Amino acid sequence: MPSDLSSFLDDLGRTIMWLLPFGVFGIVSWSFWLVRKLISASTKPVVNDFRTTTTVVVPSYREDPEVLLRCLAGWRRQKPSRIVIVLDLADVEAQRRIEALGHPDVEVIMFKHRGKRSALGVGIRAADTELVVLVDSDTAWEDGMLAAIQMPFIDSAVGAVSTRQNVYLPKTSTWRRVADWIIDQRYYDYAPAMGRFGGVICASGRTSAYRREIILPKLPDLEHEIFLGKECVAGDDGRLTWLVLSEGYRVTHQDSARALSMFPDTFRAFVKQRVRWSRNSYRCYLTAIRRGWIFRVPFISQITVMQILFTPVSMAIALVYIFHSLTAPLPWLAFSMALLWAFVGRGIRGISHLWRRPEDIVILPLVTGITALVALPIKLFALFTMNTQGWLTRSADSVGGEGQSEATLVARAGDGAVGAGRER
Amino acid sequence: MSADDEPDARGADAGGPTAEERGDTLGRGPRALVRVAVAAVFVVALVAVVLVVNGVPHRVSQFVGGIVSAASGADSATVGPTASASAVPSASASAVPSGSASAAPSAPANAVPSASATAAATAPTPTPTAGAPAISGDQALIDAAHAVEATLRPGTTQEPYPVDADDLHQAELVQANDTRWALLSRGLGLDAGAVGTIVVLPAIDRAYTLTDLIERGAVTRVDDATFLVGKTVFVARGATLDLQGAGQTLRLSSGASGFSPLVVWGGTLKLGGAEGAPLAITSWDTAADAPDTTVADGRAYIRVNEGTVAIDRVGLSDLGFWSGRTGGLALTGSSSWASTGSIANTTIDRDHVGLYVESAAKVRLGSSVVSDSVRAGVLVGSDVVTVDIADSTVRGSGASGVDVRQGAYDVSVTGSTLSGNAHYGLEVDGSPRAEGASAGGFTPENSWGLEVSGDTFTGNGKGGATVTGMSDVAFDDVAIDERRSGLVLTDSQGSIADSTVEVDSGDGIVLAGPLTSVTVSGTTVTGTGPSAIAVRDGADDVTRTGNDTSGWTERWQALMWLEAHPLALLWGLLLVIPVLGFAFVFYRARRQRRIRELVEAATIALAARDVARYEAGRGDDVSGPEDTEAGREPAAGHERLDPLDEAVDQWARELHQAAGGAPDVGSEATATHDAADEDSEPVHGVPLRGPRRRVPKSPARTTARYAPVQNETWLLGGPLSARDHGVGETARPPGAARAGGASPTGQPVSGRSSAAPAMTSSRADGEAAAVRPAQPRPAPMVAHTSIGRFSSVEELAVTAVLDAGKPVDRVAAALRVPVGTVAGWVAKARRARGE
Repeated sequence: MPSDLSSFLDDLGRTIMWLLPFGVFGIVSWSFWLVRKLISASTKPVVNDFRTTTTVVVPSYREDPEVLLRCLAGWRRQKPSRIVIVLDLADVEAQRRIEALGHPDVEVIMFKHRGKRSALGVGIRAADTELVVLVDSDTAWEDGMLAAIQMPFIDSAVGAVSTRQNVYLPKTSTWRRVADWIIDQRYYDYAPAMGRFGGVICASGRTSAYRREIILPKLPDLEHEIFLGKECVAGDDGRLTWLVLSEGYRVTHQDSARALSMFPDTFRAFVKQRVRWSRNSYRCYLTAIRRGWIFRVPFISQITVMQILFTPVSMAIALVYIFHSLTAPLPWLAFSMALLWAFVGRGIRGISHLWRRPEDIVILPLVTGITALVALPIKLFALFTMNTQGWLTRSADSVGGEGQSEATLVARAGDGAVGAGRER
Repeated sequence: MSADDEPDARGADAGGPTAEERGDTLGRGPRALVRVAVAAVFVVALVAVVLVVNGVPHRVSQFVGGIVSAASGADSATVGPTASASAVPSASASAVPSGSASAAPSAPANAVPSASATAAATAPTPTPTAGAPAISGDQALIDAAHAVEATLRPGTTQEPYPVDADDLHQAELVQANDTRWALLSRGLGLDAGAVGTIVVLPAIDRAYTLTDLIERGAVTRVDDATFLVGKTVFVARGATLDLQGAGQTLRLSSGASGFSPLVVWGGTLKLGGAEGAPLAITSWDTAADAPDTTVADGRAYIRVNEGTVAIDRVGLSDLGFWSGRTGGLALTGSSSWASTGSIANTTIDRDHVGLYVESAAKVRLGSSVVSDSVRAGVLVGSDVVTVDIADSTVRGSGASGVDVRQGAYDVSVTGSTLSGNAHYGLEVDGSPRAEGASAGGFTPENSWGLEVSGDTFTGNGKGGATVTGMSDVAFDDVAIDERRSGLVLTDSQGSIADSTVEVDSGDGIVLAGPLTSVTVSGTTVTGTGPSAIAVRDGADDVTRTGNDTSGWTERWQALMWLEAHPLALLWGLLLVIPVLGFAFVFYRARRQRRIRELVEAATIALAARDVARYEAGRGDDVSGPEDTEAGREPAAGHERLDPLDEAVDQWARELHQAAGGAPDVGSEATATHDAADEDSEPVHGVPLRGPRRRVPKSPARTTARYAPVQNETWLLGGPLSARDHGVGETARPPGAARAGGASPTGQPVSGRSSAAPAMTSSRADGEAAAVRPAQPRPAPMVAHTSIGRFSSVEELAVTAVLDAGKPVDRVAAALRVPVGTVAGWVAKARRARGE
């Protein structure tokens, strides 16, 4: 009996020995992660007294007026020099309600939207300040966001600053919690490391700031980006970021500038959003490579771009390893150990988020699955449909982004101490 | 994790999103609890994985299994005493006594002196080595020892300690021989494996001769003068073996199937030849029909234990292996019975150890030659009193020529030549074997008595002679000629007299250690090195009289070390460069930081002024007094801005001066007002605009242009200052900017100022437009960032490289732009300039 047990455990040990390293790819991927994690953890936000003139540019297309007005109040509280809201011609309800407020520093421009990029162009041209802060219509700012986002601009080589974002009311939906986890990983582990070397590869459009004089001459490149013969609709943020990077300016990340943005609360919308983002990133990074801009950014950014482009490959390798474990001497045990390791590894990578929000440990298996889903099928689908243009989650016949309207936050209607009510 | 990750750290009531909106709904206490739980889950999972991977559960189960089986074994032992406990391979401690007792039923186990003897006694019908018939039973003894070991050692699954198999086999052979001699000398008979391979010569009233050996089958005659010793000859206590054979050769068979040593245990060995016709004794591999040169399977040797040896005119060659006592010719004894003897007119060639002496007294090696030993030529071990090496030669040893270990007294080496040995010619360690009470009971006293006179030391690898911890040392009339080290006496007492020491480069005579008490007299020391007679490491009782060191050239120790290690110099130089480089980099970084701080302060002040002007231009209808925020001045009319302007001026001046700029540059600039700015109002001309100059087109012109300016701001480590600190500024009416939004050409106009007037005018000839075709030409504006009068970092960088001649990498570092980017800009500008 003891010898049976010991040989069983011995086999188990061998099996795990065989599985654990997950091959060279695992080691490479983990060391990149660790390096970026360490750099990110040791990067502190810039703090100084630099404040200059800022225009908040908000392209808004069929946004739920409730959402827009709630966010507008938050932006005004931080006292930017101006706020320019570019509404679609059909957004008369929002126009009426904003103008009814009578704020002299808030300007509404009615404009027939031809995608977000055109609205951004109008808004940026209308701005007359040193900085323009591009904000999504459903994004709320944390206190001190506007002050913090200006600080890195004290360095005249900084052309753009990205901010840290999280999900608004994350506990109203499991998909929002998942999104919050994934986005946290980005801002805990990736963005600060790249920002430290001035090479953030995508200053997320939910809130980011640019030096106006740098992007002004580049607006035509933003508005009329042609990718394989088609004009691009989405992916304005990545495009703008690379236009700044290509000019040799630094794009940094300011972790103390924080914003909350609406995320979809249905799986369908979640997937659509991921598909759109994946297409955007493929187009954006392939363009950066084709135009040679990739060689002007720091090494860490180059590595990150490569890793993002090859995510389907690395995930495929990981999955192959996991399923290959079924050929091990103890197949089901090996398979379960491989799965366990996949969960634990995902947990380790999300350790920063788990520290911030430890209760999310319960969605660890879901996040692991979603990560695999995003990394392989969604990315692969996006890769082959890269040039399909469209916003997917916003359309002319609906109000608000799909799964992102104020109505999706029903749980909030109560006493204010809800938010997570649905989850409990 | 930073503190601001905590939900309460960020003010939730200041108007920003609430804790609910952020999702921070878990209280502090529960959050901590959940954190601990999550951490515990991860730690446990990781620890489990690591343990399993390292096979700990396997080992634990084995351990538990061992305990279980031991317990059951004990149970069965109590149930029936006939249970074979020895059959349990993993015998626990309690099983050992019964195991060994039951495993040795037929041998005289009561008398066995040691475990290895047990092995011999318990050997179950050992089988001789396959192939040629064994000429000694060593392998059987080794197998038996292994069998016993197997019963004593349960852990057969452990990784073996890494040893060389040949080494292990040789050590086992030595052990097997020891066992056999122990058995034979106690009259316990032979181990089964050795039966028929040993001829024992008990004490009789006469000496045994070669004839006796032939009669007893130990020796066969090959030809008239050659005899093959095919069996081990063991001369028992009280017996004498006398082999006299002028010109004869005695071959001790030795090969893959075993070897036949000649062992005297308490008896007397006499070997002799005649002058010019010595008795030759060598090992002989019958298979190869040549002397045995392979030591991995053991080799024949001659050993005299607790006996007497008299060797005269004999040639020994190719004998011995592994240890001193099996080293070739060995004189050993015990604490109660020492060996003694003399070796004269003898040559010892290619033995493992030429002559090994241990626990012996009055041993003399005279007029002999010991050459090409694998290890030491003459090795004097412990418990030896009086060894004389006279008129002999010890050369070509693999270690020291004469190596005297701890516990040897009264050693003399006279009239001899010690040359070409790998270590020292003479190496003596007389230091005490123990400082106090010890298990071995050694004396705390050091050894005494070393006489070295009339000897020649030459060509030894490490040096002539080294003596440590010896008293009564006398070097007299010694000639030492070595490459590196002549004579080293450490913590020794005695004298060096009338000798000559010559070294190529190194130490002549070294006297080291606080216990040193040496007189050096009448000695000539020649060579090159730190000092002819070096006194080191606390040696103070040194008397020097009448020595001749005129032939000594002093050289620094460090220099000699460098000569001996030429690469070290290179490495050292390689180290110096980064050290200097670091100092330089540090210095420059500090200077740049100071400049940067000033630039930042100026930038902040200018930005604050921008904000104030912007608010002022929009009018008080927008921002009430309650809008005032840190870092922003209340909009209150232009006259209120003047103090701010002055502050900006002050920053700029400080910046200029901090960078070593001449004050007059600033004052000159103060007066400047740009005509192009006059259409804008109000004008708040900030001084320090540098004198207008055209941007030179070629580096040659640059040199000419910048030559007279000595103390300028070196923001980039180069003279750019006339423009760098040009923080001149004219405000643009914000209203106009808002209303216009685009220049007459249809291009959007930068709301902030972007191009310096000087730059604009200097490039009005179209050259600038060629450099940056994509850049819109804004109305004359002034820069107000650290870029100075340049409309972009690119322009600044290009000017710094092409016009000021700064290296691309330094410009890139100063501007914090990738080198490749700057290089790209420069290439583009070069093309635009038609260079």
